[in-house]
Amino acid sequence: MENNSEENLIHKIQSGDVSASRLLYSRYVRYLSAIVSRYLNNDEDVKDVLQESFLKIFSSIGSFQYKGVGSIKGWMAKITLNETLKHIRNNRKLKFLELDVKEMDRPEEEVETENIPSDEIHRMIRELPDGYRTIFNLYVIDGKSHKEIATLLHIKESSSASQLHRAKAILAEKIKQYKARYSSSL
Amino acid sequence: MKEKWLKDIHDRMADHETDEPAGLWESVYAHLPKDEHKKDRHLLWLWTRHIGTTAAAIAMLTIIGLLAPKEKEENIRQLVIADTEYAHLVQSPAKVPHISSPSETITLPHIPTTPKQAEAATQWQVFSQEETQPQITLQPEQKKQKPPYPWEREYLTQTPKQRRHAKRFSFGIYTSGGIKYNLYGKTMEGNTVGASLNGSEWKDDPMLGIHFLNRGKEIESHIHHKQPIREGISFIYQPNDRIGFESGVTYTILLSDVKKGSENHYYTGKQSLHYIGIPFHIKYRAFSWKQLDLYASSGILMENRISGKIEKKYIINNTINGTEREDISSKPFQLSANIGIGLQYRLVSIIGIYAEPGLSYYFDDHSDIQTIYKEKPFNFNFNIGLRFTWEK
Repeated sequence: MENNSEENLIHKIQSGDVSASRLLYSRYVRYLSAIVSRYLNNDEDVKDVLQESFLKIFSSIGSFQYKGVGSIKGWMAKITLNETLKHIRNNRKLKFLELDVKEMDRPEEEVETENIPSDEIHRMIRELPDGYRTIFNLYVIDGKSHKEIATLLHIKESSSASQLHRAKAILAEKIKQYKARYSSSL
Repeated sequence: MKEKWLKDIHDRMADHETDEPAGLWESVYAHLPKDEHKKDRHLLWLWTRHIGTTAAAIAMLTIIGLLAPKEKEENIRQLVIADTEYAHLVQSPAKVPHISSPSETITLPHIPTTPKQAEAATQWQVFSQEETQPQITLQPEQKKQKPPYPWEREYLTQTPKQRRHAKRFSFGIYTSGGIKYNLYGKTMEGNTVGASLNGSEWKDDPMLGIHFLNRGKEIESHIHHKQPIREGISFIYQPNDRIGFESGVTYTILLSDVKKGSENHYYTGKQSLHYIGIPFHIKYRAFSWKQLDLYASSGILMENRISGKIEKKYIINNTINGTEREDISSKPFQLSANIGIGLQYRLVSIIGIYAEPGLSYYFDDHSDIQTIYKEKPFNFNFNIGLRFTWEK
């Protein structure tokens, strides 16, 4: 999309044009829905967090400075991720299972993912247990360091690292099972 | 170093899209701050306009409402005759008892009927149109149900929507309370001329004695206005679904306790004022839910004092020095304007109970008697009552 049209749209929203808000919503709602839903596997929670995110977006768009293509998308994603993590912290969705020391020593798996549809990957990530899912998302997809994760979730860095290790193992297992089921069609 | 599969997952998931949750935009839209302001402003504008229109049109519409020709001759009650058992009476007029005057009450010849039908047909009035043959209004039965009262039959066989279009009359009785008001003040009694220092000398004029004995002292005056006690009956005419014109009669008693003087020399009084009033209100039914109606009401109350008295007790040196009963001769006219909202709950088809909190403003009546109306022109009141409603 062009710089001009999106910048104009944002100005319209800042002046109170509700149809412009609707347009911005329509443009990015699916993208933001994907973010929230890979963190939260309960659809009601996803809707609640998205609603909060949009309200925050529209109420603070007055202070948004357009900085080129993709700036609004990134800004909205950041707000949405914040709301998601806020929900996770408040709802204590950080249950971690005790890690078996032996498992830590196992070498990390390598799996092939290229032929697996994106929707399936998304679904498998959703199936991860709560705490592992959060850390996997934050580290692998949202590019946070263990230090940052520790700050965001109020856990130890070492916990973050070990939980990530476990999360990868669970996901790798899911991918293998998926491939085994559908190997004939791949 | 990131594994290849994780990089793949990262690349694909970073821009992945999924379906939006159903109804999300609606929830967002509903909570958008700009929209809310607009909604609130619009609502405020609507209510201001409504209240303004209602208030401005009170006098005019009320007068029109009262002067409007009556719906039907109310002396005559048209009886809805239930079923064919009576219809045959009409078809053969010879069987109908002859009557000579229009409002004579007659009793139908006894016909074996169900108890309900018998109840309905016990008495009926017929009006004559200068013919020897009386005319009877007949409405053929349309439904099987036979409720006991004719107007109720009309009422019950219609669907709720139909029912609301009928014109309705209500009669209500109510009682009202306001809030108490105390007035307490301190003044200095000035010097008055007096001859004697002894309390007993003042028997003839204890008030002067009190003034004299209190000279130079600080005078306290307490007036304790009790909440107005008002009973009333009201009549409401509803030309349509939403609007009602109300009038009626009210009887109000204002009681006040007065005490004025110093610690040892003072008088106490019980003041009671009686008013008769006629209210005029417009009522607007805002909305209904099941058996409840919520309405707004505004109008005026015109009262006139019909009697007033004050019973005084004079205390000098802490002993009773005399009592006096004084009639309050001024009979001023008292006008007040009020608005309120009401909640009415329909108990059975024709009876409802209601509560009406409201705010009144009492205009100055230009008399010098202290009343709660004077001291506190803005008064909150709360009426509760029973209303009987029937339809034509």
